[in-house]
Amino acid sequence: MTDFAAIGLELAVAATGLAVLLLDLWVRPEQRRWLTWTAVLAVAGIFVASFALTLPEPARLFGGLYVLDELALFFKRFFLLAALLVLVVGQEFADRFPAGHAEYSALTLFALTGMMFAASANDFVLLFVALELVTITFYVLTSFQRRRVASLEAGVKYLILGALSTGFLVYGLALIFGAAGTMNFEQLAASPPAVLESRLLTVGLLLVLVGLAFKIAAVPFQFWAPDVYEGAPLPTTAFLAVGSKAAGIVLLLRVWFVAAPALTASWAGPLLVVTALTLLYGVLCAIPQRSLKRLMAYSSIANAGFLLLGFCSGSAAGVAAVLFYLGGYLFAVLAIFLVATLAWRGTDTDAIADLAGLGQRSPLLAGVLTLGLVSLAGVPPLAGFFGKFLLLKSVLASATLHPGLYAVAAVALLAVVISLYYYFGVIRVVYWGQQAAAQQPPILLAWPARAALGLCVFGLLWLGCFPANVLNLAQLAAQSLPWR
Amino acid sequence: MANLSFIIFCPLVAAVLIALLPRTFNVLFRAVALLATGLSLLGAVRVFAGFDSAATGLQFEQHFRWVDALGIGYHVGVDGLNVGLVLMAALVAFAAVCVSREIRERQQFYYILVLAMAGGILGAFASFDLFLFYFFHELALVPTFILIGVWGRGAQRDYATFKLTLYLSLGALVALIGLIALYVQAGQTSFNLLHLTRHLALNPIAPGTQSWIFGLLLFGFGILVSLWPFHTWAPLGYAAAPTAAAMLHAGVLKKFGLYGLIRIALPLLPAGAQSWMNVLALLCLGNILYCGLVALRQRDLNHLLGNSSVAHMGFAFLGIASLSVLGVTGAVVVMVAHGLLAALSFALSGFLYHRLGTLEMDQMGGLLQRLPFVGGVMVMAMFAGCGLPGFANFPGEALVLFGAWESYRTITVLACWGALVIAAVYMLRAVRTIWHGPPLDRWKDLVDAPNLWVKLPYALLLAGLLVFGCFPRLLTDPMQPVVSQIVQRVQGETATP
Amino acid sequence: MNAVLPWLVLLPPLLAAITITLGALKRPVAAARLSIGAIALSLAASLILFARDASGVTSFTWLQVGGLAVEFGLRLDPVSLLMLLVVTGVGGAIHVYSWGYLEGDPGRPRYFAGLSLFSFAMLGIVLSSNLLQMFVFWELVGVSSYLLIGFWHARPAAAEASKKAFLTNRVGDFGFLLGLVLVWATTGTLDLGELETRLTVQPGALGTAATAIGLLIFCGAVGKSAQFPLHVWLPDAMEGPTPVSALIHAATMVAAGVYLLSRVFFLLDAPALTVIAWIGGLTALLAALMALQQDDLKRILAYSTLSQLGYMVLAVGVAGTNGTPVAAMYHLATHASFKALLFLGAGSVIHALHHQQDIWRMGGLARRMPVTFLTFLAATLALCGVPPLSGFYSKDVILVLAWEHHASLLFLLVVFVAGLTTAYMFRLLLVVFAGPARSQDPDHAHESPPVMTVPLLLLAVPTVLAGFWGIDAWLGRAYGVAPSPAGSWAEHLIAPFTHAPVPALAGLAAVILGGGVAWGLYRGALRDPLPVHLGRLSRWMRDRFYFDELYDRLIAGTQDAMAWVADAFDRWILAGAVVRGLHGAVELGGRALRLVQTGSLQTYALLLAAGVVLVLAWMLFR
Repeated sequence: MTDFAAIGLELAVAATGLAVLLLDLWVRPEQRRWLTWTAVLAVAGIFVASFALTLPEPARLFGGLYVLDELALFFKRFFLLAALLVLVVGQEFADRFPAGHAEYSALTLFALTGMMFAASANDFVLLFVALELVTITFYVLTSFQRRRVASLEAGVKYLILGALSTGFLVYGLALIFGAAGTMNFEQLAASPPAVLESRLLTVGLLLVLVGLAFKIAAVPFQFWAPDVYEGAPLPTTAFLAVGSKAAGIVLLLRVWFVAAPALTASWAGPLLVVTALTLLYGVLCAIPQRSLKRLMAYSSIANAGFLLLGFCSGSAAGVAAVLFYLGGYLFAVLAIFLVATLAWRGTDTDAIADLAGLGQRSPLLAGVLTLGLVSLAGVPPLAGFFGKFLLLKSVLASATLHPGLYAVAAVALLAVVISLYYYFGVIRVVYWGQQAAAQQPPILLAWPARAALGLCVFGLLWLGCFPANVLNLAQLAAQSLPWR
Repeated sequence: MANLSFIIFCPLVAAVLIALLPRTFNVLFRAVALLATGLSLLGAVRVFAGFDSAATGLQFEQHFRWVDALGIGYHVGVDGLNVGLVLMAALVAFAAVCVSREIRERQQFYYILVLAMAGGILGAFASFDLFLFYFFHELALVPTFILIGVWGRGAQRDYATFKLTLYLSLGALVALIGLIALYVQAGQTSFNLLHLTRHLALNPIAPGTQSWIFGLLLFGFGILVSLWPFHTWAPLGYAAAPTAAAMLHAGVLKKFGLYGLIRIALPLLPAGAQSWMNVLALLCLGNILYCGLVALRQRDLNHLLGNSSVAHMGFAFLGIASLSVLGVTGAVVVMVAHGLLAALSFALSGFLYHRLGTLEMDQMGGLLQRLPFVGGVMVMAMFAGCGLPGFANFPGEALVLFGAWESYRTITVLACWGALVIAAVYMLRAVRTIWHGPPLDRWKDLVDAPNLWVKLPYALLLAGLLVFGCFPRLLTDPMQPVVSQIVQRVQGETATP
Repeated sequence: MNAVLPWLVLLPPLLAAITITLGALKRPVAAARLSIGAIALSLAASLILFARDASGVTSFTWLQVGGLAVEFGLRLDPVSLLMLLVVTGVGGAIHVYSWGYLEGDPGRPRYFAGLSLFSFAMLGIVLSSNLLQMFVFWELVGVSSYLLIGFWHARPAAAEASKKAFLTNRVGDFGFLLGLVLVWATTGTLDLGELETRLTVQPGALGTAATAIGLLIFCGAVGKSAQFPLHVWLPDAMEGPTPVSALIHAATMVAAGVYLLSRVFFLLDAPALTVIAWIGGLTALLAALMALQQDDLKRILAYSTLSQLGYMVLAVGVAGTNGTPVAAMYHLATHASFKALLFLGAGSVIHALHHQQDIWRMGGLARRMPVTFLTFLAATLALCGVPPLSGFYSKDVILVLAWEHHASLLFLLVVFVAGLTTAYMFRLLLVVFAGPARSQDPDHAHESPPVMTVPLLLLAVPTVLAGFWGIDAWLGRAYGVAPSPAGSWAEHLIAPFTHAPVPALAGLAAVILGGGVAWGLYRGALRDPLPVHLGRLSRWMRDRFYFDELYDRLIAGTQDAMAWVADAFDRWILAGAVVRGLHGAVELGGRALRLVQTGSLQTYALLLAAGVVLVLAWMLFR
């Protein structure tokens, strides 16, 4: 496999993005939405094509910079699926963009390219580059509703705070390079003990982790998330919650388990504390929220906590659980944002209270929204339940290694119960909330939206009821990390 | 038709079918739901009739692979312990759909939820895989929540809905942690109950570990069954719930925790069971006496029934705590009996609410004159509730008392007082207030259940109570081998500490 | 044949009850026919069994779990045969009488269903071969009596009375059930026959639990037979239709307690018997005193029943561990007939006076209702113990027992109560049937229809003659007592005076004295003169020694107070402070944490940097 054949998926995505951007200049305005549908089809095609790739064994390319293994492939598929749905959400949201919807699609595809590179990063340099590609695209995506102050403000906040965290990240990279003389994960892991025990490396690694923790919005680096999520346009928020977070997770997986496994293994205690705090902060702050986007922001913080549980367990089963959980999370979050986009078409609201009466206006949308929320809450027969089940199982299975794992499992349990409270609060509004005075008209759905909704529901139920296939993929992916 | 998967999936498939029907087919929704639960009931009757109580092991067993990587399988079957419960659940489900005639709004959605709940319940009782068991049980959580929220009643509906849901989730999650811990301790190979039983019989878990896992299961399941002091969700929730939800929940779903304790916790964690039984015996007094006394003070019929239902659960707990063949058998009989009774009581109170618009007992009086059928059945149900012979509750409670005497004398005496006296006091006071006395003018236009079709669900449930009350061996005989096996496992643990 | 006949005794009333409930609730005549037919069938089957002197047990296993095996058996022996006759005979008469008494009441089908259910339950108690089975029917009797007492449930008094009856009985049953648990825990069986065999072979088998078992089972009898301190329900139960009072409070339900004691007599040890004797004596005395000052016709009879039941219970108690409960059962049998007759006679009067029950509004009815009067008179004399009526003989046996038992205090008490009995019964007789009419009501009274008077006449037969039928000898066989050589009827007539003259003469003297006092006080009286003579005591007697008030206070002070506390705890502490508190704390925590999110970029940047410093500091300097 040549180097460029291996990055074919990324190239295809980038090419689609460029094509959309260029074609936008030629296509008449009223036909522009076809551009997005073409992009969607292209992404779907790439997604399907990704299954044609078979990996007898992991490939290391570009001098070890880039790795193509099951883990990378799992995440690439994940990002493709997420972007596909985000594109649909974006198209449904198009009426609220002042202009340049094709640019929005193109930017989404560029961010996707970054994420797909991140999935394969085997070196701090690629890590940085991929991450920046994602982040910088998101600065634009966040402030895309340029006539809306909230959107602009969110963009600025994200830009400045993101730059700050990138600063830490870069500084960390420099320290690592200074300490170990290499940027490659595997080479770093194979460094002599003296290097691995040096404070310089510790500080460098910590700073990198800070940068990644910022991406996944783990406590205490979560402050940006609520404001940015709230201000950004709905599709951007969805992509932030799913794609950006997953990119952070895959990089974190690589750094944590590949780059310095010995070092990170000794950081179990702090990790547990961070996990517990993230969980509690997310669920507690979500309770009083009135804005769906803000609620989802806190929910995404809480979910970062759940994902960190898999890191806590420190086992292949834990990582597999993280991957599976992300799958369920993808369908649930995108289902919710898709419904929100459709239900609030023609309005400029993100208040949960404005979902009142949805149960009567559109049983289908209400049903999908409910399934998404219920899945996030972790109730059978949906994907979220099986994900939480796997996470808890992996934590309890490793609990003999660190007694703190029992405590963190208890915190997780508490967090699930509290999270039920606010997720079900939304369901309450949907089905028996105080309705607005005038009876709102029923909602008409175009077939792409229906297809996307169907895809989400199918994903939620499939992962929940027949988890074996995806679980096998996740386990396979988890195996590509080096386990002793 | 005598096929457990058929019984379980009939309602679930019907739910999907109703979801796919156009919104305007109002007549069909109810018909499909009736048909599905009716078929389930028929299947359950045939399973019950075809059950061979002489044979050991599982009958009507079905086993499919599901998630091999974790040792999770789709494994259903019946033995003496759950064959009665499955029948009871199917009967209650059918009755619950029957009494849903009062629902006029959003029927499509309503029947989907009720059927999902019914399917989940039936599945939980038939499962022989810990994961499947939990999975099916949780299927009912969201339907319950929405059913109470949308079709519920009363000023405290919202609060009650959330309280019930959160309590139940908390209980279920604590139990889930316990189940996972059990799985982990048993070598992480299988969730299959039979496999686990064999494995743990040969390689028992260390007693200290057993103890904490049992604690998790006890309190997790205990919350689901409204073990004192985790019971306050129940009366409130049932008072707010629409009739069918209250019937299914109080009648059947609540038994899940007890069933889990008997089926899973006792045989797999015998040493843990030994270490917790004294606590459980004490707590069950909280149910029997305390909640009985609380029931005395209720002015709302559904609150009274709810508290009484909580109190009855105490007998099942006491039976389990006695760790004797009699006690555990009694506990299962109580489960079946109370399932039918609670369903019947809530069905009747739903009928009353529908006709009167209130359940404040002070506003009723002399209703027996207006509603002879419903009143007569309710009086009978209340007699069943105070443990009158002839109804299935009596053999259950009597067995529990006989079984518990050896281990807990004082508690048995107090429980006996609760069963015979306190229960009778609140039930008869209610009968006096609601049904007896001079008829009030404001209810002079009330109409009783008009025809056989309307009477059917009540008659079926009452018949169930009477049949099992007069011939308790229908329940107890099939149970003997499996109960004595379970009890021997736990008792054997004392012999070799 | 023998295996089928006992079921033919037991099941017809049940089938009748079921059939009426399911199909004949709107058809009074059919219901009455079914019910009466069923009891007639039972009576016929009982008579055949009696004639054959059947004995033995037919049974099937009702419940078998672990070590507990409960047989559902029908046990026939002299005691149960006699009791069968009492229940079906007296019961049958009452069934027929009810047809006339309830003419025109819309609830008749329900009434007959209840009556049949009651008969079934009572027959079940009589035939039970197993203690748990007996408990089952015991409870069924309780519930069917509840339904019958509360037949006119729209009347608050009736509704309250039925509730009170059931609940008071339940308190007794609580002891009964515990007794059963204890019996089973000690011996491992609940079968009467097996228990008896085991205790005969090994008298100390019950060990230390013996007294407790005896007293706990006695609790059941205290409840059903309305003994002190659970006697309060019976007078109130008079709110039911009069035939029900006759059935429940004369022949059957209240007798069940005594029957139970005679069934488990072998279980009772000396201390238990002493307690039983004293409870019986106390009940007899208190009830007789209360009866003396009641004005309600049926209540007088109710207290009289209490008092006579006290006699029976006392008779069990003084029989001693080597004795037999024959005396109690004998009195039970005779009492059943004459007390039923009294109630039915009272019903006849009440029916004639359009439900007037106050005796001070009656008078001079002897001429207007001759059949009622004469049968009532016979029953009164039998109750008082005037020779040669049945009551004299059965009561004499009890007096003799008390005398021979050297329970001198109890003997005096019994004699005194015999005097009181005569006094209150003559008071009743004189006020109701003799003297002037004390209101307008009696003016229009006339004799009841034959459907009511024929049962009266039928019941009058055993009332007068039962003393000569050798009931005690028949019963004695059941307990292995050799029958005394039979003599002529004349010898039998004076036997009490030759055999044990002191008790017989004392009883007779009490009767004469009591009758004389009543004659002096109440002949022609328009108002009760006794309150003037007795003052406050009279008030206490009239107000039933304030037991009801005491119990009300007691219940309010304990149970209701506990319920109040439990409810308050539940409402305010558990559901309130704890649950709502937790909820509030979480919610508050959320709101407080949210304050961190100020929205200000500078703050965020600062916090981010602080986070980095914190992490680094912790990791490097821990």
